[in-house]
Amino acid sequence: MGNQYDDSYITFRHAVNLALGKGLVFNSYERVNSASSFLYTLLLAGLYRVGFHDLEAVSAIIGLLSGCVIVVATARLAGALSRSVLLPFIAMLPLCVSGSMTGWAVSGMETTFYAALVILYLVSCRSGMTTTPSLVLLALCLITRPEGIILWISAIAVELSERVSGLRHSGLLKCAAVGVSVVLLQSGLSVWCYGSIVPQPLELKRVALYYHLTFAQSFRYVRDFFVSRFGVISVAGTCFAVVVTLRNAVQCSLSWWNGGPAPSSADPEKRSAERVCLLMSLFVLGSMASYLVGPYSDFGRYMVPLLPVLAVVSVLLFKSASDGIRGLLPEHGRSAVYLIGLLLVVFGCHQALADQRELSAFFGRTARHQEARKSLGMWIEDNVPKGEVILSSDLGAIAYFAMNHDFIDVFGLTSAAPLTAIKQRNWGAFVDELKRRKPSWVADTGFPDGRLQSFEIVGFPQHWFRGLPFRESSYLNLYFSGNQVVQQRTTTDGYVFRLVKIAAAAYEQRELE
Amino acid sequence: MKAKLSRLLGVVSGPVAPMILTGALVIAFGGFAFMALLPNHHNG
Repeated sequence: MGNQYDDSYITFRHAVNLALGKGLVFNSYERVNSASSFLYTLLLAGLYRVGFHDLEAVSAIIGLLSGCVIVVATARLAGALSRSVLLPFIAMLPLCVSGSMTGWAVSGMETTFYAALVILYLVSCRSGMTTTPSLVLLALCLITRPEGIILWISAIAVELSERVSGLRHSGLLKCAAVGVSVVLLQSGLSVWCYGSIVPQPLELKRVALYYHLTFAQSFRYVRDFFVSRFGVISVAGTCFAVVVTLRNAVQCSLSWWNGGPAPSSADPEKRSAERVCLLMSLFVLGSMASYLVGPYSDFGRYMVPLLPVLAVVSVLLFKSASDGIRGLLPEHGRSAVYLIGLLLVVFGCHQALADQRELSAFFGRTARHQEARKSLGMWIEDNVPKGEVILSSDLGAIAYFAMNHDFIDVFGLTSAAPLTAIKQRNWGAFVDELKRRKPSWVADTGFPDGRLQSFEIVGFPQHWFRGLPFRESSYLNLYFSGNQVVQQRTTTDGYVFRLVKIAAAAYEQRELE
Repeated sequence: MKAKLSRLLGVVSGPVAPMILTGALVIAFGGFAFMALLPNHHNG
């Protein structure tokens, strides 16, 4: 167990600092919120506080349990809405064997935990969107991931459509009040603790070239993720979402135009099912839109929470299609449906197993890198004096295993200074900060030719960030003959992880060597 | 053969079928996720 995705160790470090009473911070010298999920970090901090100190194992168990919750809740919701036993199985089996679901579940990230909250919220909405469990789960989604806002907006849109259609009047205000309260509370806390509403990772994703894709690139990335890995449920689910949304929009418009209530089923259970279908459809379309305009994520991490919802809505399309086939072919309809179902399972599993192989290779590489980072972090913890600051652009496991040391993250995920300098379009301000603090070590990802990522970023930030003026010469050249490589770990894929003692004179250099 | 097939279809459409199929899904998910945790898998 262990060797998880590097960003999860940033959350672990925040959780440990919180549990030890140091606050929700990464470093002791400044207050920056770079944990990727507020609720997940609180959960890890609580578990650490009560004695579960192995956060790698704890996070894997949370991910595994969340994944099981997703499987059971998704199958149950799809079964209840479609009144079918086999169709949820057909839609869910590829998900359960896919690398995207299983790999991210044990990656240490909050991905599966958030996906479980989303699907539990949708299940609870069958009993009413304004019941206490529904509202609590909506609030939990909102404080787990920023994408929770898409779920909230979808819920508001459903309530609004019911109000316009004259079907129900009570839910809109409650739903809106919960969302506004949570967002205001979280924003207030963020401003109070960190002096900024926007969390550091979101700020970084606006300016870092790594996360920035053009619309065409985003479209190809999203299409490749959904169609190449989960083609059956993605195509069926998106088609169903478009049809349901359009049908509802037409009904609402007609109802508003005529001034009377929209035609609706008298059966409360059927009406509740229609409401949940609309909610899921809006969530699918809203999420897809956010992936097209939002930042890049490694191996579709942000897209994984949508997969169970796509499975449910695709089941509803399969159900309509199978009923249609049975109507068209009264004698052989049942056999035809089973045959098509079998083909869909085989095709879906074929894609999912390819995804499993690809994600296994990715997490395998990650694990080898983590071994190297861990050993550097442990060496720092044991050998580097506590007060010495360490430079890096690769913070996660290195910093987690050197809990008693402070770091300067030149990539700006866990340190404020680089992003402040970029916002002011004045990288020199960050260079001045480095010259003042003079970090005496660098622990970082390197290349076989001896270059280190953080030195490259310090010298030529315009290759990593948007919005900085082009500059031919290096801002600060930290490669210096007096530097000393103290530790080095090479991985089989050519990466070199180094710990280098930086000579104080390196900060005095003015010209490119 | 036909009788066996009918019995199988009877199981997958009977009252315990949702539990059996959901259990199979949980086992499939848990199995693959657990494999992702194994050191050999990661370090391979």
